[in-house]
Amino acid sequence: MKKSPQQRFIYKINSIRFLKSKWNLNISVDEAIDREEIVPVAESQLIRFIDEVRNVQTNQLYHDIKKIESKIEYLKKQPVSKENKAEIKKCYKERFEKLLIKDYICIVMDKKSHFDKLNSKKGFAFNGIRYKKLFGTPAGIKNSTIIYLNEEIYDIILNKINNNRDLNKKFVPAKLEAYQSLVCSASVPVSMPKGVLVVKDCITEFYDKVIKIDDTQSEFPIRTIEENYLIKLNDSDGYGLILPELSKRWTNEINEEDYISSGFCIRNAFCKGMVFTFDFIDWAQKKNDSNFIVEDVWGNKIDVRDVEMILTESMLKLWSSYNNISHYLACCKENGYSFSITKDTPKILENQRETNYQFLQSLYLTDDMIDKLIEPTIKDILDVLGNDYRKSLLFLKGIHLDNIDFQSEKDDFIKALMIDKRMINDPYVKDKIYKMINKKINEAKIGVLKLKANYSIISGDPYSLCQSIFGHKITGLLKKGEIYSKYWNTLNVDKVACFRAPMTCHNNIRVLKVVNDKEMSYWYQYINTATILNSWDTTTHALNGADKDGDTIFTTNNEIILNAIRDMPAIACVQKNAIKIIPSIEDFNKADKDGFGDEIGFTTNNITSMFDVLANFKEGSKEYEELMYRIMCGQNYQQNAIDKIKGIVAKKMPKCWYDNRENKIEESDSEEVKNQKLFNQKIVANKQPYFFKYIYPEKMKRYNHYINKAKNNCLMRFGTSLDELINKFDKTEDEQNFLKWYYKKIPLSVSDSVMNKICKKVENIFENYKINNSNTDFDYTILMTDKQYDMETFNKIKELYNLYCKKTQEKMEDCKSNRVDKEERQILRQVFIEQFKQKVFEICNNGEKLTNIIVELCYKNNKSKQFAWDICGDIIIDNLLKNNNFKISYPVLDDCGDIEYAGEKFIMIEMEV
Amino acid sequence: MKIILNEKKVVEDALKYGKIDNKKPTTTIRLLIKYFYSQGKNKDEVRSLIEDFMKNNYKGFNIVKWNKQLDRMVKPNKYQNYDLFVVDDVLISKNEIKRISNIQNYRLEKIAFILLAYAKIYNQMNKTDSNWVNSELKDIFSDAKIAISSESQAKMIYKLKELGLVDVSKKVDCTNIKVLFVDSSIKEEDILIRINNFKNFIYEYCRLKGEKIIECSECGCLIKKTSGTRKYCKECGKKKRKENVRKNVKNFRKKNQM
Repeated sequence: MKKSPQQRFIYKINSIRFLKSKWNLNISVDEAIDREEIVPVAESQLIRFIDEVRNVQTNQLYHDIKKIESKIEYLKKQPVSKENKAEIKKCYKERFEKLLIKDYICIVMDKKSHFDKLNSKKGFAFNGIRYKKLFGTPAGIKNSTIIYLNEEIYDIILNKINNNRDLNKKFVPAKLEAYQSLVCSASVPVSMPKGVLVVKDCITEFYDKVIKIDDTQSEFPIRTIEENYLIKLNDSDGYGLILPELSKRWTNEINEEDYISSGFCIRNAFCKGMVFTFDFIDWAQKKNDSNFIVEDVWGNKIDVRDVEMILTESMLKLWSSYNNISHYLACCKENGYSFSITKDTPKILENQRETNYQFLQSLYLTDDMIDKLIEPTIKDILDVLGNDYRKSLLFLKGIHLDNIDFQSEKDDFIKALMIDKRMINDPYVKDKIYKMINKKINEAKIGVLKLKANYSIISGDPYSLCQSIFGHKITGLLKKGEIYSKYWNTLNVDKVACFRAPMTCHNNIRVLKVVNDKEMSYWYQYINTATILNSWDTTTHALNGADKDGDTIFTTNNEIILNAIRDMPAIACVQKNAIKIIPSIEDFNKADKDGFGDEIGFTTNNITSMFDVLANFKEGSKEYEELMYRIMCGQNYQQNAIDKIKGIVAKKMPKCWYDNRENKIEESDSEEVKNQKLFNQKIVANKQPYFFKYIYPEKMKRYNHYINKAKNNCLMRFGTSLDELINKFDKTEDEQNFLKWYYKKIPLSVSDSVMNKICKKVENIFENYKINNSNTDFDYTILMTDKQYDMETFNKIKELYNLYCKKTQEKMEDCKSNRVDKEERQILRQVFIEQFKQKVFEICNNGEKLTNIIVELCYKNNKSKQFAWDICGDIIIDNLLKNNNFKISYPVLDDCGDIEYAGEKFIMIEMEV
Repeated sequence: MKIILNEKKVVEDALKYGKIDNKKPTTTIRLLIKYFYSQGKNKDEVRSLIEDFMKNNYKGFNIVKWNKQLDRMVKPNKYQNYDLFVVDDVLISKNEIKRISNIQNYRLEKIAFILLAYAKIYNQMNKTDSNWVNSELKDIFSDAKIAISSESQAKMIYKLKELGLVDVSKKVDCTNIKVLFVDSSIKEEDILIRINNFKNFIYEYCRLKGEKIIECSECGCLIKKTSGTRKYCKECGKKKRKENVRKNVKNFRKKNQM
């Protein structure tokens, strides 16, 4: 979406801080920024509610912010003076204060007892304001984060969120909380459709072969193969339809472009899901003898010509809490709800995407196949090692630079490289490229491989949905095993492999036939970048319970991948249902506490470890079969972990599958138990695979420490290196014993699993490559202008620069020891940079002068140059442009080109900007 | 030497002057915890005292980041005892030096000497006679002032092992070394070296082997006499130079004023 949700700031504080302040915490804005306790948050319905209650005109606010930002830009061009410095300081302060929402805070629970204390009658205060728990979003609860609201506006906001729903209806507390928290989704409001219809879901019934997993009957799940299992498929689970006219209008509103999007992910009160562009009025005309009357979910007759959008009951979660659609819409209007969009389908799909290890680990890949699979990724990296600035541009920006919009690109070193080729010698640019190459190499080791593939949002068959809406027999246009994808159809691809994360086993992969005919081309004409699934097979079951409320799938026609897939039935886990009640505050609190912690990741990692153990056994052996059973059950336990957040008490994966302590043989054990434990010891998945060391820094540290110590111990004891000892022909008993324990104690599993093989192959390829990162002469004055500065200002900026370096180093150390979430790191970094920008411009408001100081500071020594690019990257780009007559050059595809990269030829072209 | 030989002083400095090891603050924290427990404080009191100490003395202390680590560190079962040890000196006997000299390889001899001293320090620290050295190879070689790759370091230990002077841990991922030529008790008349300043203490052995070693005129540690005028160790030399510059500048200013 071009028009992305605006950003605001909120406080995000750990509960321990409240405990230490005796539940009355007072902190200043500066202190909060310094402690990373202020984070940006995207605009949502909740923020719009708060604005409304506080009489803030949201649009006017953004208008004011833009005005302040323009003023800051203007002041940056003015001479340095006391007045200008004071003015810029005032502007920054004003901007921040306007964007900071004090009514809404997030608290990260360090302990469950803190949660109880914060929600007790006594409660807590923050900066003199008393807050009350609102709810947690599903993603927030996983990270033990809860949203609190200023007590003063709490009731008003909660009433608005509840949208006059029938409070006597029963719900599963965790589910209701998840529905309420939909107001927190980052979204952009759009215009009201002219008429909305809510219909029953489109359910199809058919028989198919599945593997049924039932853990409700015994300690270990029972796996049965059901040849003819009755499947009741909700084909419209999470999606509805939108007329092309409305689709066009909304596309224009959010993208400022004149085309029709394939679909939109929408939100409204208790409403969530995708709407795909489909002309249902045309369908009624052509397929229903121009009978436009349908029955809605409440049993009312509605003329579809009066509606622009059709929602399904699975989208409008609380439809039964309202009398009819008019009642629902009236309540929405009364409470200030509006339809809003969280994402839309892209205009075009990418041609190349990267895999992840979950997609690859279960594939039946031989060594040759792996070599071919990693080849394109390796070639890309090898091509850029030569330090050619043109190839570096292709590496950094991709091969499709033809239609680059230079002005809207981020002001970074890549832009600089396009302006002036001498920038390839800039130590900062060199370091950046070096790090990015290293990152790519390490990513390849964990299965991030380039393929001809794309991610697309999935839809059910809208033709089936229309048949259901108009009371026809449901047939759909797509048959079992078929999908419709305009992208693949255009390329005449007839078969693709489909994957969806999180994945557990091979049964989660589907190979589907890509089809098209005249009817499909006509009825699916607006769905250009979504993938339509058929209504007659278990694809959604296979894709780990995919629904159509915005879920995306990865599809590829890569021959190696297609050849490495075996056709396997989907896994159907026996569903467990939670009890519906009229939830009280205590029920919600209990649901939150039950949901704290992420067990999904833990379960997924255990399954990955099982794949590693699996590589040690032959197909068909008892161990292999047992491991396959455990891996399949993994999907059930993954589902249980998801259900746990929904408040369903479900079983966890048996500990003896992944923890060897559970398999310790006791004297009191019977012969049968002893044998079982011995068997379990053989196949226990207690070690994570070798390639995980490139994902988790602490695992890398532990593994390297172990290997170094073992290498030294080997040398000290036997006088020979570990490699020599492993390859030694006649080993003494002592040496054999050493190796036995070496393998037993090694912290990661080094078996020949597909992923470990990929990792080691990439390691071997790049083992002897040295990336040229040595310093060369670079005249940094090309980044500056001839504007003079005084030493007093220089020294003040220097102080800040030193502080920046210190803080950055602290953060780096923090990141090294903990695997910090990439998104969270970026968010915190953004605030960090903002803080420094503000401080430096308060010292020197003139951007040109400031840039000269900062470039001089950063480039005169070997210290980090990141400060210069963080603070005045835009001015450096301006300076470079001025020094190069506003000309840029970049490579574009050309059959006669002189630059060879990634198997294609390119030439450099010049453009004036 | 990386081992803290006077834990009492570290605690004293921390409590009196708020001194903290900024590179590895957990070292100071660990010793303070031991001290507070030895004073009869309970777990909650220790936790609170440590947090107060960090708040007051560790720049940029952030409770959110330290909370879990401090909770872990104050668990009483983490500590075998709460004694703060002080290693005053290490005694080396004539017999031990003889065993070392018999190696007939100066570099190996130096390593053997360092290992011997380390074993004696660890014996005092752990109140045992096990003669195990639990330090990293790089620290041992750094004290021996031998700069070689880690592979060569391990090979040198192997040579000592072959000579029957040391043994190596049987644990695969452990590089602890047992020194096999430690005299269990040393009579006063058998003492050849008494190490009480552990800075550059390898020079004790070098001096014995005839190298020109002198004591720093300022701190008393041993230094190599690399030139006829050398009087100070590196650190004291630096300090002295600064002092002189300060003095000269002062004199210069005085002269100019006149």
